[in-house]
Amino acid sequence: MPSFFDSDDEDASIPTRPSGRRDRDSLPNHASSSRTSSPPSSSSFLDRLRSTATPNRTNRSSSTAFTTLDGSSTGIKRYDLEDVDEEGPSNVNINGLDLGGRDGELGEGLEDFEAYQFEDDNDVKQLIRAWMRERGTRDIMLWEGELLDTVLHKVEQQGSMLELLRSDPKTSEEEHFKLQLVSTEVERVKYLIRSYLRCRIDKVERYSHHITLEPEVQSRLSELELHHARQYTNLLHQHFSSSVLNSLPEWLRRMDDVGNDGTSMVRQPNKEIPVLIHVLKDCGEVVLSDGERASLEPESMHLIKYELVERYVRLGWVEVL
Amino acid sequence: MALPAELFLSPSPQELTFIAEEELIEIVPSFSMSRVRLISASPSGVYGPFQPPSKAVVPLWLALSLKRKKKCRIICPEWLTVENLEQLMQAEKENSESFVPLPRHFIEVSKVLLDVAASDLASPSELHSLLLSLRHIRLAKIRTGLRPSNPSLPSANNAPTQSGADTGPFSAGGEYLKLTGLTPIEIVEMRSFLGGVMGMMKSLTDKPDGDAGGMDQD
Repeated sequence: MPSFFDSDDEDASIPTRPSGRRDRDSLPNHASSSRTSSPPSSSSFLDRLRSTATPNRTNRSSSTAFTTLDGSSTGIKRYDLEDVDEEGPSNVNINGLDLGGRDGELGEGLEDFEAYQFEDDNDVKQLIRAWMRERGTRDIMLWEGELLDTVLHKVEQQGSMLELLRSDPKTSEEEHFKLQLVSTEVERVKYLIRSYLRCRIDKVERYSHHITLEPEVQSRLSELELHHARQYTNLLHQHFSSSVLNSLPEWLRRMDDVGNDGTSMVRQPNKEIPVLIHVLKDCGEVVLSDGERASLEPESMHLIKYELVERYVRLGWVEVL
Repeated sequence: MALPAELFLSPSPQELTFIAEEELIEIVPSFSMSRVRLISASPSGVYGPFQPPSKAVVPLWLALSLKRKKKCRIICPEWLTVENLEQLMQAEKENSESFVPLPRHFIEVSKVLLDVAASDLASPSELHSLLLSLRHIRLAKIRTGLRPSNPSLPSANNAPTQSGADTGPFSAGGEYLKLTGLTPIEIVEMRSFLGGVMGMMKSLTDKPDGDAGGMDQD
C-alpha cells in the first residue's frame, strides 16, 4: 500500500495547491514537527501532546495579538476582547495562524492533502473534519499535529486571558458577559480535542500490535501515540505470557501466528468495512468488486468499502461522515 | 476502551448536533457589545460588533446561548419557512426516484431552533408538523428504497449500478450503496442496520477461501 501512495505519477494528477501554502513547504522542519516531538514530561496530557521544538512556534506566538501584550491587564483587555480598530495587523496575524493549521498531513508524498478548499473554513471546522474522519473509519488517519498545536495554542491563549480578566476587579460587566462566551467556546473546543484524541487512543490500543509491526502505520502516529502503542503491546504480551502462554507448549506461545485459514492473530483495521463519504472533488470512477463502476461526482454521497476510496479520503477529496 | 463501543464508527445524534452548532446564523442582538474574539471566527478572528438593530452573524451555539439569555432574536434561515417547507414536501412527493437535497444539518438545526427559539419563528407549530411530515416522507422513501427485489418501488439510490439480482439498492455483493441527497443524521439513524446488512451480504457472497487475515468484524 505505501507504494501506491508513493508513486511519482500520482503527483501529476493532483492539482497544485495555492501559492500561499507552498511557501511553508519549503520549511523542512515544519511538517514533521509535531510528530518528532519528544515524549512525556510531567506536564498535563494536553501539554504533552504539543510539540516541544517547532521552529515556527516562536514566530507564530510572537505574531499573535495576545502575546504581544504582556503589559497591564487593562491593555490585554482592550486587545483581547474588543479587537482594536487596527484591523490590518490583527488580520495578518490571524491569517498567519490559520495557514499554520494544516500541514501536519505532509508525509508519504501526500503533499496535497488539503486539495479541496472549504468556504468559511477555520481551525475548529478543520478539527471537526479530522475528528469525523477519524471516527468514520477503521484505519488510523494521519496525526493532525500542526492543526492540534494551533488549536491548543489558541485555547491556551483564551484560557490565560480568561483567568486574567476574571480575577481583575476592573473588568466591566460587558466583559464578564464576553468572558462567558469565550469560556463556552473554549469548552467546546476542548471537548472536540478530547474526543479526537480518545478516538485515536482507542484505535492505537485496538491495533497496537499491528502498529508495532508496520512502519507505514507508525508514520501516521504522533511520537506519543507510537510510544503508547509499543508499551501497550508489551504489557499485553507480558500479561498473556505470565498468565497463560508460559504454561503452554512452546509452539503455541506465539502472538503473531497465522492460522490455517490465513487469519492472523494480529488484529488490523478491516478495510472492507464500508465508510460513508461525501464527495468534495470529482474522484472519477471506482471499480467495485463485481466489475461495476460507481462514479464519485462532487456532492454525491456513498456508502462504500473503505479500501476503494482510501486514497481519496487521505487526499481530502472526500469527506468522511 | 477509550471510546465507548456504541460510538465506534458512528457519531451519535448529539455529536451531529454539536457539529451543526458550528454553522453560522444571523441574529439581531438586543444589547450592544463590541466585538468578541473567538477561536472559531475566521479569518477576521472576531464576531460582532453587536449593535441593535443591525444584524450580526454568529455560530449557532452562540446564537442559542444568547437566545437562552433573551439577548437576541434569531433570524430564521431561509429554508425554514412554511412556504419553503411546503414546496420541499411537494417536490419530495413528486420525485419518487431520489431525495430532494436539503441543507446539510437540516434536521439538527431545525430541531434546536424549534426547541430554543420557537418565538422567533413564524408559526412554529405549523413548521413543526411540516418538518415532521417531511421527515416521514423521506423515511418512508428510505424504507421502500431498501426493500430488495422489488424493482417497481422507488429506490434509495438512483445509481445505474443495479445489478438486477436480489440485492435491491445494494451493488457489488452489498458493498456499495449510493446515498446522495440524504443528510448525515438520516444515514446515522440506519447506519448500524445498514452495516449489518452489508456485512451479511458480504459473507453470503464471499468465497470462503479468499478471506483476508486479521478480520475485525463486529
